[in-house]
Amino acid sequence: MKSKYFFGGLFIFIGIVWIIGVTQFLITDVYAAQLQFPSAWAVQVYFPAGAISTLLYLGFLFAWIIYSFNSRFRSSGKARATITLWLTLLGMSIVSNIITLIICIETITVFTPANKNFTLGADVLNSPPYELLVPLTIVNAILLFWLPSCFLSQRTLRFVPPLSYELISLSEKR
Amino acid sequence: MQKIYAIGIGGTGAKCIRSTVHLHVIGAYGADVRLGVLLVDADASNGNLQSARETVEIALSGSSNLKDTNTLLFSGPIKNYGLWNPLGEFSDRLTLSDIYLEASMRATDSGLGELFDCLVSPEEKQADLSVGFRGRPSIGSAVVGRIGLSNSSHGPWAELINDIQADCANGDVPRIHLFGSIFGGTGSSGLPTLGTLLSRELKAIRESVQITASVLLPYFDFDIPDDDDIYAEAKNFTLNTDAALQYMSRLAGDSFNCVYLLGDSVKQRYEKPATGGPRQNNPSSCIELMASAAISADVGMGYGNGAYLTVSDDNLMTWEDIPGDLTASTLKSGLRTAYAWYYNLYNEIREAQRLSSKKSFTRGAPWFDRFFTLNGEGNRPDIDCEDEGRKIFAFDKWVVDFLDWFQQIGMSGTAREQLADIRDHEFVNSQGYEPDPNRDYEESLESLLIGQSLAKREKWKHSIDLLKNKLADNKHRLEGTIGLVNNLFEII
Repeated sequence: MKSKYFFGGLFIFIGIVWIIGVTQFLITDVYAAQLQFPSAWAVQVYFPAGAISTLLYLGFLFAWIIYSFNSRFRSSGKARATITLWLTLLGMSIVSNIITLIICIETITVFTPANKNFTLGADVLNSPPYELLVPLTIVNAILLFWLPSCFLSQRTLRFVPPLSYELISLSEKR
Repeated sequence: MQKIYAIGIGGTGAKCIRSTVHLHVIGAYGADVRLGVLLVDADASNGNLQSARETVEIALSGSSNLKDTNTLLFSGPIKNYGLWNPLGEFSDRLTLSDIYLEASMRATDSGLGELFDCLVSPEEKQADLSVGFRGRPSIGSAVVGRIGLSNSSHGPWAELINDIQADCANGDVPRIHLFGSIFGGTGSSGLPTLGTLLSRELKAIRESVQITASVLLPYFDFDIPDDDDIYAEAKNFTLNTDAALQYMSRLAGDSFNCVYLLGDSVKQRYEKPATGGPRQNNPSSCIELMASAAISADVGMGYGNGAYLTVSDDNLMTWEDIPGDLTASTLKSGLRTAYAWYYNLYNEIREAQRLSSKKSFTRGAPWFDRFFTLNGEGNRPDIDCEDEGRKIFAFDKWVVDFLDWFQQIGMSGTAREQLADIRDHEFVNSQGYEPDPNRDYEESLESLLIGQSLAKREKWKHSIDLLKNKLADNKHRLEGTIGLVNNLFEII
């Protein structure tokens, strides 16, 4: 197997671990969020939001990969112009991550064992940690879209994602 | 290494030389072949002769710039022996009457003068021969018949014969192949005579030399030219052919190891014909391609020596009709390579030269850094350097000439275009280092070759984009322009 596929898969794995595991750990154990029930919130609100976001990132990523595999370009200029599509997919993946977070936080009913009550995700917080989660969507996008796309873009579009030429050159001598 | 000496006699011979050189460049005669080229014509300004000379020069330039011994394209060396004018020694006498010193001949022997009157009409005697033998065998044979063996001791003949003798001394079996029409002026008179002269001149080593010829029977037709009163007459072609074949059979046949006769039952019609001069520049024909392919046939075997080669359709030639083991396959590869270059790679390269950041160009062209350096990094050639510029120019010139030639071949069928669908294209050399706006980018090669389809697992070869990706996926032994075109030729 070519090393670029290994690195592409590795970054997807790291991205999943980051978005599901590390970020959840940050919410519960590191970041001083004003949470009444951090563990319950993280499991019942953040985890589904993270899982859906991961699937969305992977969806955008594979849409790009399939597009790059199936597209034929008359000229290098037309191939280079697809950076606009790549940036659009990157932006859409980040926006969809944020929207997913908001929807999950605002709509998921959380069961809190301390008071045995059912309440909305937003209500179990004095202040939902948007200031942590929204900036982290950038990291999510880097790990689950940008870096894998650098290694997994196909054919003529293999060097279109920014830094892809440099990264592939590190893994394969050109 | 196989040594081939191709001698084109007259306008048709020159057209065959053009085909021969193109076939040699694409490796249709094999990878280890040296081609020597000599043109014979009394009319140095003949348009077909000029085209052939230009093709030889283009191929020589391509060969010196793009040659690599391990590839097929441009691999075989070419030696140009130039042009030999049968009227060279009569340069101050431009009519048959002058050449034969008619007045003095009559004064010396009136019987000879009367015989001269019988054989040559008054118009033919006074015709200006600076534009050749005017499609008249009677004029041509009267001039060429005076060529003595002394002519072979100087000029291009001396060099040619020396080279042949050197080949034989090295243990090679060189092949001399003559091309000419048998129904016009120069070819019908020159081909049998030169074959005989060569056979005599090489008598000592005759067993080690193969002398063959592609003799073209009437395959085109035209209206009466409007440029002169002594002209080639299509109505005489059959008569001329009959006489010339009888002459060859009785008097010159033994000089040849093998003679290939080529003709067409359906004649191509030339518009706006001219008898000699620059205006005589008739388009190339598939018959000439077949005549050139005869070089690849073993002497006395295959489609020679009494065997017949026919085409499957009276009005059209198909890829299956082209003789030779490699001819059709290399022609297809050459055509696809030339087309992909002309309509895609050339402008891509010019685009790369325009961009100061080669890395940014590579983002849309992953094949680029396999052949060229990015901003001076690494050992690969710099696309902006003078040497690469020369190679790009040399290859592009060959591509335009090749496509132009093949377009004429494709349009020589009497029913519709044949072999390749490039009828509506105009192939012109580009000037300067900017992308050529007249060359629209093409991506698909699917409809280029007529009647050809690829196996399912090779369908990707229809896409120029996928071919470029194939080039991008592997490292190549050869880099720069020479690596690019040769690797493309190999995978295409």
